[in-house]
Amino acid sequence: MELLFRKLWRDIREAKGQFASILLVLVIGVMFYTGLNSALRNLDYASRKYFTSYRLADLWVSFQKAPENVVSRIQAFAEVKQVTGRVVQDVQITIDGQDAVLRLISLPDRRDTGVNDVMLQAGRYFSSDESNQCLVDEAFFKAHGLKPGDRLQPLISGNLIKLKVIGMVKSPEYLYQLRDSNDMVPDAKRFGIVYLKKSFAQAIFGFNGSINDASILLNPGVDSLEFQAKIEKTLQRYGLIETTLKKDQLSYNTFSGDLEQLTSLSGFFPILFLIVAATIIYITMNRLIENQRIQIGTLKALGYTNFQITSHYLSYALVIGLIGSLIGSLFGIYLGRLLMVMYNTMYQLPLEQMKSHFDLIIPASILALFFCGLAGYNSCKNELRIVPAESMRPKAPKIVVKTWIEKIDWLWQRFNFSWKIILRNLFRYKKRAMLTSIGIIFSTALLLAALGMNTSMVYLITQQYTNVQKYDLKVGFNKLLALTDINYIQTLPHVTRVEPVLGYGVELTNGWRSKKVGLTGLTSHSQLYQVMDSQGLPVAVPERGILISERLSQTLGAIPGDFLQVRPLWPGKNDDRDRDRDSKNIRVRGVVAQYIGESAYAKLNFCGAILQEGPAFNQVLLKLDHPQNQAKVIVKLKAMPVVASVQSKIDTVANIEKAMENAVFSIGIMIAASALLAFAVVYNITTINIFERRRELATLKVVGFTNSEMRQLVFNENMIITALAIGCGLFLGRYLLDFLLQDAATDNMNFPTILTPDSYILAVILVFTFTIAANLILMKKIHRINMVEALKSSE
Amino acid sequence: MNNSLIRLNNVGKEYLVGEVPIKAVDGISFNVEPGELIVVLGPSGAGKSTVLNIIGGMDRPTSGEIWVEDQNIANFSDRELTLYRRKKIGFVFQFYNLMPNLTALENVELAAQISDDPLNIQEIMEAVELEHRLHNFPAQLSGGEQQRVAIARAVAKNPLLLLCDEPTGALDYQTGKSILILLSKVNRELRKSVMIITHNSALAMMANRVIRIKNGRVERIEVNESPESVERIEW
Repeated sequence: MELLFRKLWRDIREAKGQFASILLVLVIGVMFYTGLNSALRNLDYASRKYFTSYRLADLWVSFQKAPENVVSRIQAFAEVKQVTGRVVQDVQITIDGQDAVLRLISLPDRRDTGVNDVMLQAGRYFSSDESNQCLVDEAFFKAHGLKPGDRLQPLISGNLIKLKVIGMVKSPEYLYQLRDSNDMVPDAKRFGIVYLKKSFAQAIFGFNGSINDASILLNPGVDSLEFQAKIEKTLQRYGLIETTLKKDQLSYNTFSGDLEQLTSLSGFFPILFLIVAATIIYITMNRLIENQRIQIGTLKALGYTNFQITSHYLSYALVIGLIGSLIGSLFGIYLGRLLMVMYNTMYQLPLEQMKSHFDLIIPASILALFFCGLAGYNSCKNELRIVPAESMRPKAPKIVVKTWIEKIDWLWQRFNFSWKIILRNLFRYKKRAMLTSIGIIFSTALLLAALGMNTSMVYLITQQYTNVQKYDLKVGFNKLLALTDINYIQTLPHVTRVEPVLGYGVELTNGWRSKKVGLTGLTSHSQLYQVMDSQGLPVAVPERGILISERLSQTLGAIPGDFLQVRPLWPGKNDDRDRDRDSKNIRVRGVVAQYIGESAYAKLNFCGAILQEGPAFNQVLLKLDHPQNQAKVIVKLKAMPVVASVQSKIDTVANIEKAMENAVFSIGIMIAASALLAFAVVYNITTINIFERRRELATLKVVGFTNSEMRQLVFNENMIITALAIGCGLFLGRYLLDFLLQDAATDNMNFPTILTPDSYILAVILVFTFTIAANLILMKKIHRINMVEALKSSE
Repeated sequence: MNNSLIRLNNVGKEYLVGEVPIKAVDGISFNVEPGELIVVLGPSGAGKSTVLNIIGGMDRPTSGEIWVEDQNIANFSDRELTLYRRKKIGFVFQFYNLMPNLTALENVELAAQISDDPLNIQEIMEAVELEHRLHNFPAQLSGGEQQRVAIARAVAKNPLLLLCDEPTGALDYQTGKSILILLSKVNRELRKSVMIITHNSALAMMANRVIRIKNGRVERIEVNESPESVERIEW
């Protein structure tokens, strides 16, 4: 068999370009497989370990105020494994000249193993010295260049309180450091977690002997939903604000959503690539074996068995499979590390135990070898079925039947000779044309989907921050204000328009389905906040009733006309033990598009009515004459004692764009991979076509066709096939994009499928460019065809 | 009679072209004796190659028997036919059919390595006068040289019978002649039975027996008591 191996290597060397392009496709497929899977495994492993080691809670309960002994009451439940009582409070701080929110969370004065523990990154834990020691989360710590010994001065109940930074920590509770679900991406400069001694936290918030948060770890096997209902009843009297299950907790939910997305990507994407690779290998093997039919016949005549011959040709596929999977795996493990680091800029997972999963090479190789082997085997099968005497003869020419296009006389007469050849080829060898197109169809589809992901993301940001949120500043107040209070803000210099907003959390219930979301009350004909439908057309907010987002409509199973139970989550408005009494039945008036967050919308007055208040507001939206004047206005606003927060849209957008760099990177990889794939496919297929037609071309050369006429013949045929394939590919790509985006959607973010003409045009241009490039590279192959050689031998 | 190497008994082969059966071979019977050189003569399309393919186990007849050493290969399975080709038959084709990506030597080894009882390759390469071209690829050899490699490949397996299908068809006069000289040398010196198919009637003079085929039937079998040496045949 050693001789046949020598033949194999020489055959491969002879068709270097072709083998290289197949290899490339395979490498990309395997690379995605191992890359995504190793990233996934690392994330999964690291997070699990992190969650267990630092005891991430199963259930969070927040209430107005409860005596500390409530902890032992909770602990008394059989379902509870462990519980930690805490004081949690958001406060404002001005740091480095910017506004930020700090979430102050209490930790035991002396270190113990509580629920939602922190991991010490630098510095030390609280000592018995100063009471105002604090630990700062890693992201905020680094974003502001803090070091142990620095001071933080948040504003607490109107006073600046000095906190002494003694260390840097991270916590599994804030993997994804979002303040609330209205934030799209973490902003380490504007939101930080600061841990205080419990005694100190209780002192500064007037919580002596009390807490307002309980983090509960449940025993294994406990039905958390059932327990949630139980605990809600028990704690109702302490002014229960809300209970949150782990699966709904913002950080955990976002993280597991991302992990899920990665899981489905790591299965779907590489398989798609491998299928394309297998298709190309199949086509190539098929042609290769067909072109070697006389050699196969000779081997048969010599007395080689079918098994020996099949093994020989199968080894082509297996060699590619083996080399491809090895190279692909190595690149993939590298890609996996890159993805890990990239993802982790969001999560802050401890990555000390990051491993290279070399064992992923095994499934990757098996997968690749399976696809390659299948392609190789299928191609051999047909050739070996025929009797040896038959395979010695050149294939009998197909019986010529006029194709339908030839029958349309008036049309057919108009084509010149070259076009007649091209058209006849296309129509007569439909199967060949179809196989050729499959590769192009797939790669066009992938390319379009990748481009579309980019467009959709850009659309989402523009839509949200240009067309929906038209304001420059959003100001939050620490209490409800009467509409007359707006006058002062209106008189501020540079402010051109002010609109009041009333926003608060509500629990929407439809039968057994319920969801906690934000309810935003807007003025009539708001010009600074535009609600839109999925077509991007403005939607008027109804006088009575609410609008809900598409996603919410799905979650709750509610459509316009249905009634929802609306329970406001407003301190003092829902501390009644009778839930049903606070709830109001409100009609859904419409469904609107919302890409970030899940909200409900209503008229300002209507929102007030739900709270049993008159016309009031707790936020205003501002439009400025020029964004440059933003800083001046902010200073004025902050001077107002009722102002709790000021949010600038420019800053938000800048931060989101920064966070999007990661996504842009992933999409860049997808685009690059699809482009490589398209090129490899086109190159391969053109090579095969030229090789197969070299006798025909040589004959034409003998007859006196010039090089450029022959080029035209081959390339025009390729171009027509490419054009048709691109058409199908674009069609397929649209659905692929839909699928990918639905897959990428999380509770907090929802990508619209947006394909602009630009994406289509770009995809078309790229694929055509690759076709032309491949044709140019292969041009010299046509010029090199040796008339005498090609015509003399029988094949 | 029982000493015959191969006995063809009323062998027929039908092809279906569309729905019309065409008889390529229509009841052919003859024997191949050990050590003899047979020339099968006939115009194109007479069914010569089909007969050769059937004898060589490359194709199956639709009727009749082919007895080789008391076995009727018409009933052979694919596997048995493969082993039959491997052990008993050496093919020489009009277009040489060498493996383009194997050298001259490797092409011969390709045959030798699957044979139970191969001849010494070195000696064969010397016999076909190619000892200086061992490591050339087919594309670097002339047509005559390629055909020599093909003959060496067929002989190396030490077969019972050498089947040559128009072995000089693609070669010029002189080269063709030298190939025929080589084949008669193989016949005489190695005592191999050789069967040459051709449409060139001049070659009849070199044969022990000439089988003339026309329209798929044996038209005449001529026994040549004193075959002429190839050098003296002109055409």
